Amino acid sequence: METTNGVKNGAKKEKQTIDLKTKALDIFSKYSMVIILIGLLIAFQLMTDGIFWRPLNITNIVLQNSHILVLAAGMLLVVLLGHVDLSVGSVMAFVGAISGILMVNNNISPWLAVPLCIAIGALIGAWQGYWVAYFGIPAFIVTLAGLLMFRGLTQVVLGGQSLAPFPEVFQKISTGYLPDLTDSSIHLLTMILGVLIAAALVFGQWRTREKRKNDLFEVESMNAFILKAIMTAVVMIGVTYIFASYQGYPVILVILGVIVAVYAFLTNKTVAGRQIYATGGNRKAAELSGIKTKKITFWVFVNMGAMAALAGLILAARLNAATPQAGTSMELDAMAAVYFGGASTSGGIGTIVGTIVGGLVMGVLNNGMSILGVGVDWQQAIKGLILLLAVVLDIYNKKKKAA
Amino acid sequence: MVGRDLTNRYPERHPNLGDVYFEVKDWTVHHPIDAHRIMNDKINFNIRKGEIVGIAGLMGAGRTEFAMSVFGRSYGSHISGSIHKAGREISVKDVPAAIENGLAYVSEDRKALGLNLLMDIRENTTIASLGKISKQGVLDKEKEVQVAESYRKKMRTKTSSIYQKVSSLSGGNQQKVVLAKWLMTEPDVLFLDEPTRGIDVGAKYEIYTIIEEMAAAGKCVCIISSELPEILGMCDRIYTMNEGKFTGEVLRKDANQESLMNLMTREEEGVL
Repeated sequence: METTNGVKNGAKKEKQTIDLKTKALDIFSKYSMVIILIGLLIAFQLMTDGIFWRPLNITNIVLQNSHILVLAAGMLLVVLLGHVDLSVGSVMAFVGAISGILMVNNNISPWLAVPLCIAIGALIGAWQGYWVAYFGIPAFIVTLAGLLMFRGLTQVVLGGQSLAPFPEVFQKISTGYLPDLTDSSIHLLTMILGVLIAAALVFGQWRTREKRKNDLFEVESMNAFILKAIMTAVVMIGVTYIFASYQGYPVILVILGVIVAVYAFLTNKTVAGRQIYATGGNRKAAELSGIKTKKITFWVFVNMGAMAALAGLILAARLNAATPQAGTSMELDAMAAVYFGGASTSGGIGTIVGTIVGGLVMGVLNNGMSILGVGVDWQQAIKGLILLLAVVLDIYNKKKKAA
Repeated sequence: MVGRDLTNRYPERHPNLGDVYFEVKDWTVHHPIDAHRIMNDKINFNIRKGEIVGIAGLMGAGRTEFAMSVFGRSYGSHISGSIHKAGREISVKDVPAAIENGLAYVSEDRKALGLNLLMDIRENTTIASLGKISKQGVLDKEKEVQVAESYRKKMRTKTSSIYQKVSSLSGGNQQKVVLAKWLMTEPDVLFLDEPTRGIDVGAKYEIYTIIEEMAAAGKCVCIISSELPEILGMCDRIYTMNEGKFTGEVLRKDANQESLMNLMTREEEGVL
């Protein structure tokens, strides 16, 4: 009798440890990129003797990577459809060049020039989307052609020269900060906004949880929820404090925040978003379910063009110049961010939050290694290796979970 | 094994037939790439309200091509002929128009054409009728969950929750999700292409029961199948098909496997 009990207990214990293990594995595979990002943030802080987390540096990371994150947001939708867009780097340069012609050479107001440039980007997207969606030409080829074409056109427009300087209002897109309310060392408006956003996020989490409870969805325990809410608030307010102790939220961070919110809404809560996932997951089944997959593909490329234009403007504003070589190989950075963020190359899988985290991993790697004095050559090699490792780890986890 | 006598493989059928409701006239379809090849040749087809019609034919007879071309021209090129519903000609130029006109097509290839294997039961159920669970393009997720759950119950889909990925379901339960998806579009005319392919015996009976219920609710049902017992067990009237043409039309009481097989392999158009 005793032995059977012993065996039973042993089995029970074993089962419990297995449960814990699968749970840990589950959490790790779900949040692997976040865990890697946190690991990097801590490692760099230690290795750089505290330089990394200085307010100036954190602000710099945002400023230096904003155009990549904007590109990556647009690229996410393209990748969700199972396509790629190789032309975005060239489109950035081309739109930057046009903006230079408009604002530097012809003194057109940025308030007119910026919307015009974004419209031009959307038109370029429409041109490429037309061939991909309605002619069935692989996006790889259409956008490879775009990569060559728009790089060439940039040279034509600029005549091989750089255009500068841009009007000051325009530069503020990438170099400006929110206005301060007081003269204190802490940026008050930023702090207020940060606390409000943190409260909104926590409230949003709580509401989702309540809704899901109604919707027969398994929700996390109250303790786990409180822990999650506290963590969200601490991270949000903590990061805000770092920005506030320098010059406050950069304008570009606010723009990025709006973009992320819009994309999160689009991908999660709208019919169009659902149809994008359906088309990417199984195009033929989507078509037979009455989804206009060609129209969806077309508009995703239009959106990508507009986002590439915005990224081009952000870069031009930061460099305060339209240069022929702007944006070179940035299409690859954007794609790396999307794949880092857990998107599938065959389409149908990927999230905006994952993409932003993926982009931040890349940005943090760049920044941290630069502070450490690692040469650009080594930086690229290391980034490449980490991209491969991240994806291998992701797939390994998924396979293990499936088995 | 399935807790039921295997002799009753089909639910009992007491058809309550209405008038001819859905008609396809002189339907001719050419191959999408090789436009000279005629895949469907002047097909005339009709279904009454509450009727289950079968299309029997061997693989490659042009049955799937017929159903898919009728369903919003999702197959073929140079399509000619007309489609009538309730005595009125309807235009079904694409799949959205077909769905709007109350047509539904359940594909023979569940995994490639019927389901999105990356998505869960809920998302697969609502994907063809997103308009019903949204306002101004914004999804009402609460409503979506309620609707998906009600269809799960109606179909008796065996699953832990509607959030389960369809890739982890058995063939029979996957097929129930596909049927739920199409029932949610509230169709009048359903084409079911090999509805029980790759499904175990117990689940087959459940699928048959669901089909029977659709017909009893006054819908027009067309079953396409290579399994003659299934055709004979379920259908009130049977069209036979060979090499893109309808080669015969028989009532169930006049049909047996042998006579159907003869018609299915007949080279030239006969009595029709």
